[in-house]
Amino acid sequence: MPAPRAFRRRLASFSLVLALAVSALPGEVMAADPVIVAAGDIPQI
Amino acid sequence: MIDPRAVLTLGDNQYEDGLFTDFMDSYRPTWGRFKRRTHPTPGNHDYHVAGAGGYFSYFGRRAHQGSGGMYSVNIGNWHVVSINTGNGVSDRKLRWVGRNLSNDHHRCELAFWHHPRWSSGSVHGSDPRMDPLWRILFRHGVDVVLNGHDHLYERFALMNPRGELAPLAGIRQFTVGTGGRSLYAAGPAIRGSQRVIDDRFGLLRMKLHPRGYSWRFVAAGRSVLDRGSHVCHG
Repeated sequence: MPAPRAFRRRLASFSLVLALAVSALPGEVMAADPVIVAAGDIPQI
Repeated sequence: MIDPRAVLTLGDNQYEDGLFTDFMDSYRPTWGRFKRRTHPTPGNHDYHVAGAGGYFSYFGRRAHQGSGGMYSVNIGNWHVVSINTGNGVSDRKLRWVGRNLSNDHHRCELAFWHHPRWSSGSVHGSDPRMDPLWRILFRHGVDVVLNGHDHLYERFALMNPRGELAPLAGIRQFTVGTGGRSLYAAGPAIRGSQRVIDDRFGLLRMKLHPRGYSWRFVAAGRSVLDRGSHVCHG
């Protein structure tokens, strides 16, 4: 049974926050150059 | 773990209507954790509240209400300009952008706002109202534009304001309307479109080098679905 829409939205939003917080990827070298992240169209959860 | 230096929100920051109470109840516990390093720009949904009152109240000084939501910051060696298209593009705003860029001498420049000039999206598509803005940015040698509005990810080749490929002096546009609200199907790819992802939420992650940039589209779940790098015009 598909998950309710509200749950899917909440999951998506939390997943994005997680991606934001732990955005280092395996094998990546720490660098001094600044990293920015960007996205729009953010749901109400 | 790398903490992003900055978070750029690309408009429609809180569906459905940009209410202050929704910013507090919904945005604050999620994206709001990064508020102190967030540089926002308003979208049309933020203006469902008169004067985008919820948006400006929530973001406070970070939204630069005194200058109509238009502002610039320097991040590393980059000049970054936030343009408020949430309530349209006016001659006054265009003059502000022109003045701002005339006074800037960074090698690398990025502008971000909500409505994409170019889009293969089947819901909104390309927006000719952004043409005067693109002409100003192109004239000043801006390197990168970030937009939202169409709920998909799209990366373009370096383009001029006529929508032609301009590999030496063009602007690269990214549309990143994948913040989680919903997804819009892409139509046929328009000229210059190099990558479209219309079935995943995610973030654009850019590293701002002194003379160039690299990017990754990181989908929810951390898979990287697009990546690349390029040099600034100088």
